[in-house]
Formats: sequence, C-alpha cells, structure tokens
Amino acid sequence: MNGQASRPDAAVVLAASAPTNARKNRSVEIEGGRMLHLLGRFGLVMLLAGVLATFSIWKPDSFFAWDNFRATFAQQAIIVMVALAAMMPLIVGEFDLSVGANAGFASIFAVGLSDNQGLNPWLAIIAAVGISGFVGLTNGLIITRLKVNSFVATLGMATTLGGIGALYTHEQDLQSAPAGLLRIGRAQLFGLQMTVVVAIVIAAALAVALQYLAIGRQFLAVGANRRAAELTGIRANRRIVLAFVVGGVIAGIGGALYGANLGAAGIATGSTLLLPAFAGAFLGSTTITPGRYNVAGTVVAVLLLAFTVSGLEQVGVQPWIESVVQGVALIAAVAFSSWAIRLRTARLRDAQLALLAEEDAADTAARESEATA
Amino acid sequence: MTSSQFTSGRAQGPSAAGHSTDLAIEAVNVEKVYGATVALAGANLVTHPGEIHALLGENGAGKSTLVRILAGIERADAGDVRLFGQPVGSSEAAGHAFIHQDLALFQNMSVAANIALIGGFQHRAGLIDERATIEACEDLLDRLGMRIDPRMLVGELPLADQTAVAIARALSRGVRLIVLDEPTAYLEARQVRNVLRLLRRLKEQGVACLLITHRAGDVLTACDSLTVLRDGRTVASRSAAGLSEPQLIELISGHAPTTQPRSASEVRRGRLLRMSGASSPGFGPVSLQVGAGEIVGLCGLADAGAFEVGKTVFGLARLTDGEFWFDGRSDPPTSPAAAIERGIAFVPSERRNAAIAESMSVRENLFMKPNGGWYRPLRTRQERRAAVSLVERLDVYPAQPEQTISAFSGGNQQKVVLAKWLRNRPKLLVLNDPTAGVDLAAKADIHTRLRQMSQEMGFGILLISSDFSEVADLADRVYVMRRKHVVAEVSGSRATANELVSLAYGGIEI
Repeated sequence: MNGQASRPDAAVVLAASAPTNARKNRSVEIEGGRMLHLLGRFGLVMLLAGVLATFSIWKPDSFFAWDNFRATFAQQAIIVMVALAAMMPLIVGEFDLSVGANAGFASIFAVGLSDNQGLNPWLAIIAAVGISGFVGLTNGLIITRLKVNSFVATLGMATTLGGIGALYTHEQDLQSAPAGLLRIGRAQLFGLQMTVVVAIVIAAALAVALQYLAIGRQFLAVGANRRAAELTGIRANRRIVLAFVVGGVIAGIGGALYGANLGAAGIATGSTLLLPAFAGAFLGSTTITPGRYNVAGTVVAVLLLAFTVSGLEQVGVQPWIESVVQGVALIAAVAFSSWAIRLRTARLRDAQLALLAEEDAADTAARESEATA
Repeated sequence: MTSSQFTSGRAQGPSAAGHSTDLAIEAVNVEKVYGATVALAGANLVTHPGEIHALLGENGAGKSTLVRILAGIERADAGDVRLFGQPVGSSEAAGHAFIHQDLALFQNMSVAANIALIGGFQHRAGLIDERATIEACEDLLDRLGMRIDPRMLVGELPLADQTAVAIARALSRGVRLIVLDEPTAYLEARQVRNVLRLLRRLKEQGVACLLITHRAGDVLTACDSLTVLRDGRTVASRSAAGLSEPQLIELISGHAPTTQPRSASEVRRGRLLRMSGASSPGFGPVSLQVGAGEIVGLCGLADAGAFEVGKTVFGLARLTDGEFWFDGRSDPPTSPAAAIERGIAFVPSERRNAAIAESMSVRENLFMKPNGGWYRPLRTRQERRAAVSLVERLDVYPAQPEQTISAFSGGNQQKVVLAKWLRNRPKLLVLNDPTAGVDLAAKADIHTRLRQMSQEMGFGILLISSDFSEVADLADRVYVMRRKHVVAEVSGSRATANELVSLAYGGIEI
C-alpha cells in the first residue's frame, strides 16, 4: 500500500514532482461503488418510500390518509425520543439498556407527582425529566468510576428502576392525571401534537450538535477508540457520562410527555419501549452515514418500522406482527451493517491494490524511458 | 503432548518424483492474481531444514500472499509449491507451524491450557488431569529453554513470552517447518535475543525456520539466508553472510539509502524540558534535558522505565519527587489535556490500540479533537484543506484524507499520527517506538522527516524506543536507562546500537 511514499528517494524531496502528484491525487474509484454508496446511504429512505407507496395504493382510504399519518407520528414520537436516548451512549461505545425503564419511570413520576402530590403539571414534568437525567448520570458514573460494563450496569439499573416504580405506584396503574397535565400532553402546534413537535426539536438539536459541533467529533472519537481519544486530550470519561446524562434527559422528556399525553402511566411502559428503541438506533446506523449511529437514520428507521407494522395491520395481519417486525429488524440491521463493512473493506483493498499495480507500471515505464534517453 | 517430541523425523514421507525432500520449502514461479491486481508475478522461495531464512520486502511486495499460499489458505494461480517435497495442502498434520503476528493465543487462559489445546491435554479416567497437563507443559518449556510459569494467564505475560508461548504451542505437536510473521516487531532488545536464540536452537535440531521481519538486526544477526520480494517477484535470494544494513535496505527498496547529514552540529534554540532527580513509582531518580530542535533518545530494556518517563512528561503518570521544568513552568502536567495545552505531543507505541481510530477517516483522525471548545462549530472546509496539506507534506500515500484510515499501510498510518500533532505546532514531541511494525524503507522515510521537521519547526523530540538502532540513528544525544536509572549519556554522533545495548545491559552479556 505504500508505493511511492515510503521509498527513500521520494522522501528526500518534500515537494514531489508534478507527474507523481497528478497520479497521487487520483482518487480510488470503486467499481460499481457509486451505486452501492447511494444504496448504502439512502437504501432505508427508499425502503420507507416503497412501504408508504405500497400500502397507499393497497389501502388508499385508510392508510393514505392524513389522520393515519398524524396518528402514527403521534404514537412514534415517544419511540423516536427513546431511540435517540439509546443512541447517545451507543455513539461513545456503551449500551444503555435502562432507557426504556427510565422513560417509563419519568411517565410514572410526571403523572404521579401531579396527581398524588398535587404538583403543578409543569413542575411535575420538569421533576420527572430531572429524575431521568439523574438516572443517566448515575449510570455514567457507575460505568466510568466503578468500571462496571455498561451492559451489566444498565441492565441492573433497569431492574432497579422497575422496582422503585412499583414501590411508588403500589403496583397500580396511575390513571387519574389532572386536566392540567393532559392539556400539556395533548396540546397542538401547527396541527401536530406537542410530543411530535418536541421530538422534532430534540432530533434537530441533536443532529446539529453531533454533526456540526466539535463535541460530535469527540463523541465519535471516544466510541471509535477510547484510548486514542484520551491520548489526544479528550476527557473520555466525561464524554461518556455526558452521553448518558443527555440520553437520560431525552428518555425523561419522552416518558414524561408520553404520560401527560395518555393521562396514565404504568410500570409496564418501560419494557415495551426498549426493543423498538434499539431496533431504531441499530437500523438507523445502516443508513445516511452507514456504520455510524446518526439522528436522521434513527428517525427514518423508527418511521419505517412503524409504517410497516401499521400497513400490515391494516391489510389484516394480526398485532403479533409488531413484535416480529421489530425483532427481525434488530437482527437484520446488525447483520446488514457487518456485511456492508466487510464488502466495503474488500472493495477498498482491491481498488488500492489495483492503483498500486498501475503506479508500479508507470514507474517502470518512466524508468525505462529514462534509460533509453 | 504425550509424544513430547518436538522435532519429528525428517526422513518420513515418500518423495515425489523429481522433487527433493531435502528442501523444506520449494516454491517456484508462483503467481497469484486478485482481480486486476498481480500480487505475485513469479516468486521463488527455497529454504532448507536446519536453516533460518528471512523473507523480506516492503509492505505490499507480496510476502503475506506467499505465506498464505504456503499455509494453504490460498491457492497459487500458477507455479509449484512444495513443502518437504509434497504439494501444499496434501497433508494437514505434516508438522508445519504458522505463527501470525497476532499470535492467536487465548489471553484469558493459562499458558498450559493454551499449549494443551494444540498439543493435547493429559487425561486420567477420561477427565482432564490438570496437574499432569501442567507438568507436561513445564517439561516442554524446559526443553525449549523458556522460563515461563505454565500456570500464568497468557494475557499477564510480557509480549516476548507470549511469542515464546505461541512458538512452544506450535512445537508441542512436533514440527519440521515454522513460519513466523514479524515475531519481533514489538519486542525490545533482550526479548528479541530470546526469541532469536530460541529459533537458533530449533535450527540446530533441524527445523526449518522462515522469518518475516522488518528489523534489519534480526536478519543480520540470526538469519542464514534470505529472499527478497519486490512487486511480487523474487529479486534476490542469497546468503545473509557479509551483508550490511544499507545493502539490505537497497535490496529491499531497490534504491540506495540516502544518508542524511547529522544535525548534531546545529545550534540549539534554548532549553525546553529539564528533569532533575525526578522519580515516580516506575522510575527514578532521572535527570535529563531536551532542547528546542534537538532529538534526545531515551532507551533501555523493557523494565528500565524509559516509557514511564514519557508518561509523566505527558501527564499520564505523576511525579512523586524531583524537579520538572518545561518551557517556563515548573509544574508537571496533570493530564494529557493539560500537557497538550502546553505544547506537548505524545505518540504511543501501540498504534492500533492507542493512536488511531480505525473506523474514522484520515481527516477525522487528524482532527479528532478540533481546536477550541466543545461547542465550536466544525469547520469542515478548513479541515479538508488542512488535511490535504498535512497529508502532502508528510507524503502519506494515497493522498486521500477522506479515506478510512484502516485502508492505509502501517507506515502511512504512523505518518497520519505524526501529522495529527504537527498541525498544532507542538514544542515537544514524545515519541514511543515511532516505527514499530513499519517496514524498513518507510522507517528511513519517517526518520528523515522527523529530523527535517524538528529543525524547521524547532520542536524538541524525546525519542523513547526499544529499538536501539533507531535511537542510534536518529538521536542527537542519548540517555541510557537501566533498572529505572539513567546510567549513561552518550552523544548521538558517537552512539552505536551495540554500544547502547551493552550500556543498557550494564556490560553483562545475557
């Protein structure tokens, strides 16, 4: 792979000669790579478009209706938020299996504090989000300070939260949310439900921070090689804790608004959120910026799964399909991305070897023409 | 392991007509094409039993393809490949051992278990007899002259001992041919000697050894003969006797090495780093100085503490005693971030584990921590421009900063690691084994650039290396450490690798 560069003669001359430069700046073209590239980046978006088109033609009245779309968006806003919450620790290379439980915890406290304790609904929501942020902080500290594997730490945390939730609710579903809370949860903005608007705002803010701010690069570096990031002056532990706190806060906002919207909360909420959230985050990492967890991909993935399920249900498939779609998507997403990485690496190697062979041929030709001259 | 014979007889096996069983490896006119790429275009390799043979060439010359063909992992498109007279792949258990660079050991298992997995466990009443297995393993290690406790976990052993375990494991089955892929790349002088001594013992017992290496020292001290590949062809096949290092480099690269004038006579631009009586749990007391534009070597055996000194300079470890002074301030940095702030750069010795993020592009690796606060917007266009100029300046090949870094060769990755620091115009570079696992030509190139840039940009270099010849080549001044102390200071223009080695050992030949 080091043709020209590492030969001592080329090394002495810092300013490389013109023909060498011309050859060097040629990019490695991957045969059929452009198509593969586009498919890799936008395959999931195309799949979403395909699913929408299919069911719209199949069920023009029920599926292709603004009400259906609005209802799906409203249902999925919570999943999008929990999926983004799960994505944050994944970026820095850690798992948070407690995101679902944490969101459920927030929904219990948003409803419970405003009902049982008679707290102002806004304060109840803020308190619930704060509690979730604190759970994230605790997760982060357990993982970085006590050096507990994040899988184990957050699994333990999820179970613990479930227990404390049961203690607080006396294992009863909370159903009598005050009207003030419901007003917040069911408020409309631009014809969209409050939860949808909040999910859009969070997704946009997160996308900008991760894509366009230095912190996004630092998160990526910590996830890609923690040791290298540390030796570059990035305080990796702090970044990991921050990722868990941000994830916790987002899960809290999602959960609190979910409770406010339903006007009810139960201890079972958390466990139903975990799988769709992880399916969304993993599937999302195969698109837009393949191989990297990203906001846009996660949103697209959650919507794809939701519309697939709602379409299938409308054509008569029973609700069991939801679990099957989510489970299969989770496995398929991971299988697909590992296949894509293998394929990409192999193509890259071939292309570079070809470039090298060409380079050597040109070198030989140059040497021969020098010899004859 | 019950048949604890580690050199099975050579005379076994019928000889195919026309092919000598006296040759260990006989590869004639081997060709291998991948797609449009010619990896091997007529490679020849002949080795004899009882001989250590070096297989040399730059990265990409076709060494690894040839080894894969010898191992039977890939099939040659043309040519004849025979091991002890038999076509490759004809007999699996014919006693050939291939030891790859990553050793393929089980880190969480004991030495005995690692060896027994290949050589066989000792049984009693149908169950594994742990004590007998350990005893058999001890036996094997003794016969090989290795002082390793078979109860230790492999992951807890130093790398040299791990290499030794991998060799012992291969030998536990009885072996006639052993192929080692860069066994000494990350070892220090004494450990290299141990591995090479082990190979010499095997050779005396009639085993054929094929050694793939980037270290000239290995070839010149231990090998009997060598084969050089260039662009998929065998360009030299000869005895190693009487070769010099420059001749070797010329054979490998096809060009005469360019000798750089030493910079020792240059005027220094003031003092940069001073430590006096400094100590920490890993070393001390140590006194040393580095000037701006000066390359100072710090070397010693693995336990000498040289690498620990570098860690304290970069804020990875604390000083417990003594004075520290860097660029006008007398407090040692307390964290890498603080050290970077003060203009100290650090290139770790483990490139893959600690220096590069393989899934990120070259540009992202260069700008892993963009300047300024976390809230600062990324300036992608400026980054692109800066990345192109850094990549061109260091002649990284191919000059494509948007490419994933894992697609680059070791030497080019190492240049990217250096470039990452150069963009911030550091005052002091702490380099740990900067050319480990880099081929000879790329190594010479990196040395030239380091010397040139330290002169031009005026930064000092603290070069900490377990490769004594690298230190002798590059440094203006060398401190030699032994058992956590600096025992000698040698002027670089007079230092030779041999002199440094003997100072590091304290004059005692081991």
